[in-house]
Formats: sequence, structure tokens, C-alpha cells
Amino acid sequence: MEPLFDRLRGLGLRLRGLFDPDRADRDIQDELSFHLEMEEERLRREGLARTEAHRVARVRFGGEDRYREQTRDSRGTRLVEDGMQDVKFGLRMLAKNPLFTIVAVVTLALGIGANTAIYTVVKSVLLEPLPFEEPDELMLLFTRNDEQNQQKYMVSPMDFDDWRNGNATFDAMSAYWPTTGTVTENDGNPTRVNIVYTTEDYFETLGALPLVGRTFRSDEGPGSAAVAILAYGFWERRFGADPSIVGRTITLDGEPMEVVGVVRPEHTFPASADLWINMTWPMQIQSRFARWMSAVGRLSEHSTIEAAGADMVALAGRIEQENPRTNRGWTVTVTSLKDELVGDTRAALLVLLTATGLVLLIACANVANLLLSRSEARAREIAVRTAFGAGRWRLVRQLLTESLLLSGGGAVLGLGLGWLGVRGLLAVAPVTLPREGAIDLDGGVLAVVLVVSVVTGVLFGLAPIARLVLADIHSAIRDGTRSTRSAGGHRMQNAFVVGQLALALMLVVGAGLLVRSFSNLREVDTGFQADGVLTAELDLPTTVAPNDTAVIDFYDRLRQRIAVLPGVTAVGDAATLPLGEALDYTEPFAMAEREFPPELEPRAFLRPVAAGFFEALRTPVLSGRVFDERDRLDLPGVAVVNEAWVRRYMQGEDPIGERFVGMGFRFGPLGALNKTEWEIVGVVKDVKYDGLRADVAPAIYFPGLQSSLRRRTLVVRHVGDPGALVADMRGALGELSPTVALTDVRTMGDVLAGARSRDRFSTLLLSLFGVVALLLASVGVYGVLAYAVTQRQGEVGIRMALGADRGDVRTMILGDGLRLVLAGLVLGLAGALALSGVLSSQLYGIGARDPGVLASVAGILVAVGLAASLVPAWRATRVDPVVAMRAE
Amino acid sequence: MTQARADLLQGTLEMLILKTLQVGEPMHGWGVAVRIQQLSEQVLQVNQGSLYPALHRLEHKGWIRSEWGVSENNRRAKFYRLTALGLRQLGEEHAQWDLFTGAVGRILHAT
Repeated sequence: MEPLFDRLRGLGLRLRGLFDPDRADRDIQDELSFHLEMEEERLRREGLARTEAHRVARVRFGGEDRYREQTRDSRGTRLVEDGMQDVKFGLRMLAKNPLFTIVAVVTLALGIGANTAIYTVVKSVLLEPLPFEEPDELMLLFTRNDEQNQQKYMVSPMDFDDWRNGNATFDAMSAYWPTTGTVTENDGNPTRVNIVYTTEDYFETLGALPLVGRTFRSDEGPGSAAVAILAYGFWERRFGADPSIVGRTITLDGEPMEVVGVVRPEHTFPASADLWINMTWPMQIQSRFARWMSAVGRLSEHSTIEAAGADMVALAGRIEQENPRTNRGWTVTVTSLKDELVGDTRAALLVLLTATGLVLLIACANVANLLLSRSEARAREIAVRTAFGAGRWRLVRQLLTESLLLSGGGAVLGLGLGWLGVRGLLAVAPVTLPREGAIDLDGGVLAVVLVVSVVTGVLFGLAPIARLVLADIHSAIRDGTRSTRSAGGHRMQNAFVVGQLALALMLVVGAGLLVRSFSNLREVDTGFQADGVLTAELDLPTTVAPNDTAVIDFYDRLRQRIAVLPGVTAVGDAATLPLGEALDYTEPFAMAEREFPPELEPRAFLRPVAAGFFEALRTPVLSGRVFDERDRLDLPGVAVVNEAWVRRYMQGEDPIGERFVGMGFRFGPLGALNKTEWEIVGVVKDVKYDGLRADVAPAIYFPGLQSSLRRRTLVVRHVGDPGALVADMRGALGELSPTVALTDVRTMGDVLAGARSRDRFSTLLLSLFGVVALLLASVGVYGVLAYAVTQRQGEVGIRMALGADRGDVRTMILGDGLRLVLAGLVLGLAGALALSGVLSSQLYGIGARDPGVLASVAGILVAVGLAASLVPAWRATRVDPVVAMRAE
Repeated sequence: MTQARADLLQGTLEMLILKTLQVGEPMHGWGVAVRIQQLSEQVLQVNQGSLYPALHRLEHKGWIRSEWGVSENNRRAKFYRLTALGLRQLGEEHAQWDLFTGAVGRILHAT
């Protein structure tokens, strides 16, 4: 026990020495002084004179200072103590130069903060595994038909059944079908929900476990009773996360349904799902034409995505041979679920990650430059310390400590900025940013920030160290107050500034291209006028409208009621909203008096819209008429086509009066086109549906009174307050049916903004980075030139004394600045050209090497560089020759 | 070679300090120095200053402990005392030393 206590005491002493080094030093001094006094006293008692005793005592002791140092060292805390001393000293040095410190820390914080924010998003979206068992084995299966220009289409239940039974590369394959429904509470307040119907093995295929209750049982397939599994978010929102919901019954579209489980919060596939319901219908329904289900599969252990693709293509080929009428040209594409979820966000995020990396590099170069500038001023201090015996390693440590302090400060501030940045990113993020819920700062990000800041600290700390510690101390002392500025130091600083300018130019070129591309997108003709249009979705359950006629009648009455509301000038509805997210249907068609060559398999998007749709959106009618009240179910079918359709199939002839035949199409459970023959009565301008970038595809519009789609989006043109209108519309709907909900209310402007959001996101961020980079680079130019001016005061003084006028001096300094800018320009342009491939996929209507953008950015860079040189140049002309030369 | 001798001396000095303090009553650094000189009959002449790094090292190993007190001439002084751990250490070093010197002696006296 006692030995342990003795050891602990030793440790305690060490700690005390650490926390109170001054007192420990004082104690040692006291102890040694006491010894010398005692020795002196003894010597005097032996008869020596006072001064002799003093001398001899010290000789016998042998080097008071040396032993004091050794005694202190023997405490064994020297390394830590020195470190703390370094930190203290470093903090003092930084505090002495607050402007320098603030600029350096803020610069680093910007770089580190931007990287933290972007890396957080990138990590959550691109790097984290999906929340499923063995997520890399999960594949999405799409149908594909190149003749009909369908890349990722859905699958019919019959085809899916053949896939599931006939493949050799998947362990499991499930179908799902996202749709919507209405959950009613007892108080009659309906909630629209996103439902996903799935085959009963869906959760096993994904490897997703329930949080409460269970997932579907293997006997809950075709012919069984439908049961519901809740998504975590919906469970929390709607049922207050009450676990007793399992086993209870909810009312979905008027039908009671038992809740059997709740899934885990991370399970959000498909992303919008509120609840999952088992498919209780057999797969041998409808025809192979009816392609409306999606499919997900899990690869067997030894299979690969390529093997699965080949397997499925072969299988689809066999199905096609057996069913040439329905499956001609239809094959299968297999893509990994992860790639599909991340999608084209990957490219955009990687561009941003590159950009933030560049910003960080610029920030580092800036701080290195600041440190270099300052180190010139400190060269004398360092030299003196070296001369007094400070070890080189000790000085290196001191300087490194200072840069680590700076980067540490930058990291702390940067982390705060990064946290804000992530919030900001999510606020401006496109609604489609995948896996948004999973995005947050975490330990991994913190670790990366830590590593980044230490590495940056060491990196930018190395430059001045190389300059100072390895420099020749003799010349430094001899030079006195004049700088030790050697050609090497000069070159290093200039290289940093040129590098900064080049990186900034690359960023600003990227930003400029995106801005131009974005403005191109803004000017795209959508084919409609978004201002003053309100949209709202609704979905009629079979309990409210049991059959097609009832659906048509319901929407007709609703439309009439809304048309008379105050402020409403036009009202229509559409199965698919332009630029909305709902599914668009494309199908083959045939015409009464026209044969098409087989290679031009006639095909168009089918778009049922109610009378008033084109008026509400102000889509121009190019010839003929659009739908009106006359186009009822009991009268002949009529259709309207778009310009793209006329271009593709009419070769310039007038389509009006031509007839479609054999087109009684049924959209699965969603509704149907209720005529089989349709006469073309009009042509409308092309309207963008599938994003702003894509060309408009041929489309046929059908009247809402002759088609019975249950799910529609109301399109209401109005004047005045949209809020009041929404209330009025809810009232009108309530009079028709208390159990149908009006959801997803937004203006057409919002829809348009949504379609632009991803481009806006990238453009906004890259512009921000571009501005930051430009700012940092101009600070760099300014710093170097301003410093050079102070260094060259003597020279300037001599020149002016010899008759150079202020203009010459100004030109000289501006020339220095311009040389740096031009070097940066050349390097940056080369870099921008080299990196142009990274951005090209993000651009619309502009090349990645657009000369106009390159030229204007080059102009901006020169202007900024010159502006940054102006102040130092002006300062140089203020030099008083007499003062300057006396200082020499 | 020089290094090895220094280490030997250092180790030896530490052992001598422990031995000096074994007497029992707390001693200050000067006292230890004087006692070593007296006991060795002036043979061992070390720089008195080298005592202090050794004392502090020993204290941090927990072999001796110190206390500030008042010296015989009424001055503030630091007194050292052997700890139990130090006593055990002294025993070990003593045995080692005997072994070492015995071996060296046998070699030197061999004919």
C-alpha cells in the first residue's frame, strides 16, 4: 500500500510542477540558495573571508545554472511544460497581432467551414451505406425500350411474375407500386398519405426489420387480407409514436385495415412512403401492356450486376419472343439501388466538393503567405533566439505550435460555420436531395475536420519554418531591421499568390458557367405562364366515387364550384402537372387513316386534362380548339396534340380532323380513357413536363370529361390572395365530400422553382465559393504587395530622391501586381480548361469552355488584382525619401 | 564510453543518497552532501550541485519524499526522507552493488 502511495506522490509532484511551474521553479531556486548559504557559512567558520567563501562555495557547487536546469528537467515534465510554454508564447504572439490573427483564423474558418458543410452532405448522401442489409446487393429493375425512347420504365404484373420465376441471378425480387390514399380519423378530418403497395416479400428482400410489430408474412400475398405497415415519420406525426397502434385498425379510403407493424426510422424507401400495404391481387391480371409496377431485387451471393443484367436481358428476350405484340422492343436495365437513389446528385456534389477543396487550398495559401510576411518581420527575433542557443527543433516546434493554434481556431470557428452551412444547404437544397434525413454532423465529419485542420496547420506552417529556421542566422542579425528577404522567400510568396489566383479563377469560371447555364434555364420557354396559378392535388377513393362515371361527374361538379369562387378566372385539372413529380404515361397509338412505318413506332404521352386547363396555364392554342363543356362522355371523343407530336408524325400536314382508333386505355387502378376513338380538334404549343432541360416529347391530351382519372391536380388561375382561395376551395370540396383531402397545395411558381432547384442549388453554392475565393485571392495579392512596399521603402526612397516621380513608383508597384495576376490567369485558365469535363454534365445551353465566360472571368480577375494592388501602390508614393533612406 | 561512466556515477550517487537518508531523520540537501563527504573520508568528491537533480529524480520515483521545514539555523529548507519504496530499492541496489564489486574484486585479485 505504502509503495503505491509513494508512487502517487511522485505523480502528484509532477502534476503540480505542470500546473504551477513558477512555484516549482521558485522552490528549486530556494533550495539551491539555501545550500550555497550553508556552504558559505561553513567556509567562513573555517576562516575564509566573505568574498572567498562566496567564491569557493560556488566552485564546489559547480555551475548553479546548469544544475538548476538539470533539476528542473529531472521532474520529467519538460516536454509538456515546453509545449504549454509554446502555446502561451504562441497565444501572446497572436494576440500582439490581432488583425493578422483575425484574418488568418477567419480565412481558415471559411475554408474549413465550407469543407465541413459540403463533406457532411457528401458523406451522408454518397458515402454512407443504405440502411439495409448488404445494400450493395440491392438492384432496381427497369424496363427499357429504345425504339420508344423509354429508358427507365415500369413493369407489368405479368412480366414481373415471369422475371421473378425465370431469373437465375437474384435471390429475391419484389414489386412495389407507389400511390396515394386518404386516411380518415373519427373526427372526419382526412389526411392524404403516400401508400406503397408491395409484394409480401418486400421487406425480406430489402433486409429491413420492423421497429414495432412485424413486416408482411409469407402468406399475405394474393387473395389474403390487406394489412398496413407504417413508416416511422408517419407513425410519429399521426399517431404520436404510440406503439399500441399495432393491432389497431385505421380507415384507408373508407376501408378498415389492420396495422401490423412500424418500420425503423432509417427505412425510407421509397422516400415519400407513409405506409406500405401488401399486394393482394394476383400477378396474372391485365395485359403485359399495363406497365405500372416498379421492381427491386437482391442479387444472389455470387452474382454481379453485369451477370444479372445479361440474365435479365436474355429473359426479357424470351418473353418478347413469346409475346411479340405486347413486348416488342422491351428489355430490362439493372441498376444498383444506391446509384439510383443518389442519381445525378453525385456529379453536382462532387463538383461542390472539388470547389470547397480549392477554397481550402486558397485559404491555406493565404495563411501561409500571411505567416511568411510576418516571419520576415520576425526573422531577427528568430535569429537572436538561435544565437542564444535555442535549438532548431525547439524553434520549429514554436512556429508549428503557432500555426496549429491558428488552424485550431480556424477549425473551431469553421465547425460552427459548417454547422450553419449544413442547415443553410438543407434550406436551399433541391427537394430531391436524396436521403436528406440522414444528413448531419457526426464523429466521422469531426474526425475529418480535425485531420484537415492539423494537416493544413502543418502545411502552411512549414513555409515560414523553411524560410526562418533553415535561414542563415548571421546575415539576419547583421541585416538588423532590414529584412532578410531573400530571393527564395520572395519566390515562395509569389508562387502562393499565383496559385491562389489560379485556383480562384478556376472556381469563378465554374460559377460563371453555372450562372449562365442557370439563366439559360430560366429563359427556357415552358409553354405556360406560371404567375397567378394555384395547384392542388386530390385523389378520389372508390368509396366516394365507385366507378368511372362517378369520378368524371365528381370532378366536373368540383370544377364548376371552383370556377365561381371569388377571384378565379380559369380552372382546369390534369392527371400529370407540367414539371410536377407525378408519373407520366406513354403508350403506342394507331390512327384511322394513316399508316406509320414500323421503325417509327407511333407513341405519345397520354395526358388527360379537364376543360379550362390550357386557359388556366395560358398555353397558346396554335390551331383548332381546346376542350370545353361540350366534350362529354356521351359525345364523340376528341383529342388535342402538341407541336412535337405534329412535327414527329404529320410531316407538316394539318392534323385536325384525323382520328385515333383503338385507344381505350386503362391506367391500372388509377382510371381510364373512356372512349376508343378520338378526333383531333386542336394543336397546342409544346409544354415542358419532364424537366426544363429535356426536349418536349410528342403528347396527346384527352378531355377530363371523357377520361376518369381518380388522381388529378387542380390548376386554378386567380387574382388576389391565394390563401383565401385555398380556404374557399377546401370549402367547395367539403360540400361535395367530407372525406376527400386537398393536398400538396402550391403555386405553379413553386412547381417551376422546384424544377429549377437543383440547378439553383449548385449555382448558388459555386457562386458563393467563387466570391469567397476571389476575396481570399485579392487579400493574398494585397498582402504580398503591401508587404513588398514596406520592404522596398528604402529603394523607393532612393528612386524618388534620384528623381523618379510618384507616377513611376505607382507604375512599378502596379506592374508587380499585374505580373502576379497574369501568371495566375494563365495557370488558372489552363486549370479551368483541364477541369471542364467535371462540370459539363451540369450545364445547359453553354459549353464548359465557353470563351465568353472565360474572357469575362479573366477580366474580373485582372480588375480585382489591380484593385488589390492600388492601395499598396498608393502607399508607395507616400514614401518620404528622407525618412525612408534614414531608416536604412 | 563517457556516457556509460556518467550513468554509473549517477546511479552510484543515487544509491549513496538513499543510504545516507537511511539513518532515519530527515536531511536537507546540504546535509546529505556533507554526510557523504564525511563518511567517504573525503574520497568521493562530487560537485555538490549534482546532488539536486538526483534528489529530485529520486523524489519523483517515489523513493524519497520531501517537506519544507526549518533548518538548525532557522532558515526555510527542504528536508528529504526515505520512503518504504526507497528502502526496498536501497536493499536491491545494495545487493547489486555487492554482487558487482565482489565480482570485480575477484577478477582484480586473481593471480
